[in-house]
Amino acid sequence: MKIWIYLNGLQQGPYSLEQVKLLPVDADTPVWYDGLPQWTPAGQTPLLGPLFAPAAPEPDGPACAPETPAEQAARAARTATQAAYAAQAAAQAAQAAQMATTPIPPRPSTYIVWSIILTILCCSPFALAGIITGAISSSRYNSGDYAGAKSMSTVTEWLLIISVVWAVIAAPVTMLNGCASVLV
Amino acid sequence: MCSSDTGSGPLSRHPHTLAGLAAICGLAFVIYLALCDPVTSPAPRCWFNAMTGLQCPGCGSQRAIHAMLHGQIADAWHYNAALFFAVPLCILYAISPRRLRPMLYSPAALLAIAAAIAAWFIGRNL
Repeated sequence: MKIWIYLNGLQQGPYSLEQVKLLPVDADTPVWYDGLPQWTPAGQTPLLGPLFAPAAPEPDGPACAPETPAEQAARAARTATQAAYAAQAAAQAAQAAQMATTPIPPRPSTYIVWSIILTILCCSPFALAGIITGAISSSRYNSGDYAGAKSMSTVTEWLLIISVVWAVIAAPVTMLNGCASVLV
Repeated sequence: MCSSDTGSGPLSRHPHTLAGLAAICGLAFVIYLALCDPVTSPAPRCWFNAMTGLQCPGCGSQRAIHAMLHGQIADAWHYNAALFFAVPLCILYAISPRRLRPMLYSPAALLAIAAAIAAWFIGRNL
């Protein structure tokens, strides 16, 4: 599950559910993942809502009986395990905090409007390829490969430039050929 | 396209200038099509159609725009139905409401557009 969040005025993501749990997300943070119709406060989503539900009251401990040495050993082991978990969680939180503060570059342009217009109006196969490279760029961005996304965005640009040059050459030639054709 | 121009090639350096130029050229061409019937006036012809005789995804758009600007919606639909979807789609992408951006620019949405154009191209020639 890829989750995008809107934090500190920035769209961030995609994150996994585990990563989102470690980020300073509260019930009002706008989030979006595939399946939500639109950006939704985290507390109102089926996926993240349970995280913000009020904590269940802790069950009362069992009536205290004197501990046997075996019970004491087991309790010590539990405490050690909990400490290890806490240390691990702290390390993950630090990592997530670093991820959150590293500026995520804005999404490189997919030039989708240019691609659609040039594909349809100029009948350019290069522009159709430009829609595909735009999709590849978007896919790379979503998986965190920002450099790859940018280079694919540049490929899209060049495909569109080729399309425009192609149209500028083709249009006058076809006009000379048959300006009165019914197949315009 | 105005909100996320951060590529590294020549197009991304002057995105708004180029978008403005394209808009002016497009508007001028639409005005020309409003005044002149592309069937009887000089107008560019589809190179693909001229070479193969097949209809490309955009064939008929000049006649469709001319018909639409003269209120003949049914004729426009007959000439090129794809325009009826492509124009609102381009406007939607040009506006790109912030809430819809993750969806609009998802790889699935972009591939769906490419697939729709390919399907329209094949379908109209069958």
